[in-house]
Amino acid sequence: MKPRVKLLQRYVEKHNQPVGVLLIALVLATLAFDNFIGFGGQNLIGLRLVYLALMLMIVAYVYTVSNIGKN
Amino acid sequence: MKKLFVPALLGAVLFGSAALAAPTELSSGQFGLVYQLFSITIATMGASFIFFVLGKQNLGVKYQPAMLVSALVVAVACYHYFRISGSWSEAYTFVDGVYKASGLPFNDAYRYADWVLTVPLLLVEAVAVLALASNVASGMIGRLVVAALAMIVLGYPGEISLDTGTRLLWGTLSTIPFVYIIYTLFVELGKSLDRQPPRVQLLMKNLRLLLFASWGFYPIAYLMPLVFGSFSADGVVALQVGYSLADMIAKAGFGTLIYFIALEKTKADNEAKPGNLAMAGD
Repeated sequence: MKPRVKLLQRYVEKHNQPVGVLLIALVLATLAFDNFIGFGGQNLIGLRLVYLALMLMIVAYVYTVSNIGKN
Repeated sequence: MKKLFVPALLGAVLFGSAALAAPTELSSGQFGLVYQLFSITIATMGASFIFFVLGKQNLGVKYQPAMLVSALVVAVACYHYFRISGSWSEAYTFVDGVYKASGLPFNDAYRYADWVLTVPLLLVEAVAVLALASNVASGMIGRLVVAALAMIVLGYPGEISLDTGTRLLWGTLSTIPFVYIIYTLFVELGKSLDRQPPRVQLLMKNLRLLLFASWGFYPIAYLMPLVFGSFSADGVVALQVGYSLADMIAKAGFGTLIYFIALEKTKADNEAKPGNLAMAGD
């Protein structure tokens, strides 16, 4: 694993609560932005792109936090 | 080949069109049934969000991410149903005792945008609560996320097609990753049963049944327009009713069961290690 990734992983492990709150805030901000301004027209291309990025971040977060104490 | 697969998959997820052809006329009962069900779904998702956020505090630290994901999934679904419901209302106007198409399209794309975010998260949530060894969980999470995206992507062309053959073809292709996901989770949940405390074992068995019942509902709903005739009023109503019921069970119901499993596992962990008691309450 690359040193920068390892560093980020350690940071998430140490501050998992604030990182979790940040992820919730990002999702809620995305929903608010979509509601008031809109993403990508009828096919919601912009929204899907943002969701994909959010999904990958949340999956990485859940994986990292679930493994605290196992490694 | 493998290098091209993931970018192609991501491209299809992002750019696949989901504009749904809606029937031009609905009876009052048909329109009302879908509208009321959307309202019930919004209320269910909203209530579940509050429950999961409050319930997270009762769980041990290692199970809290699963609850966080549950809360996010139902919050996102609540918002999307709010938008779908609004689009449904705008797409029809009440004229001479029936609901006629207003000219505004019924935008069902929110349903698919929702699945891009929530379906992989539902799978990760299930894996997180199993608390598998890190190397096992890592590989499984990766495979399940890719399979979930493949399932959604392959379902698109059939969903937006008016042709029966096209719908069946893409539906069948989408079923391959779907069966893989169900099989993997079913087998892994089964394998982990022996390692669980007795109280958790019963809940795990129920989770397997719920998984089978709720996820099994989606392909049935997908086939409804074929049963009632492609994009007839009955077909579209059955599709919307089926997907809404499946979403309620798969997101709110599944999350609730995950909460009770995590609660029992927290209790078992605390009994095994009394020192963890303070941590669980943090």
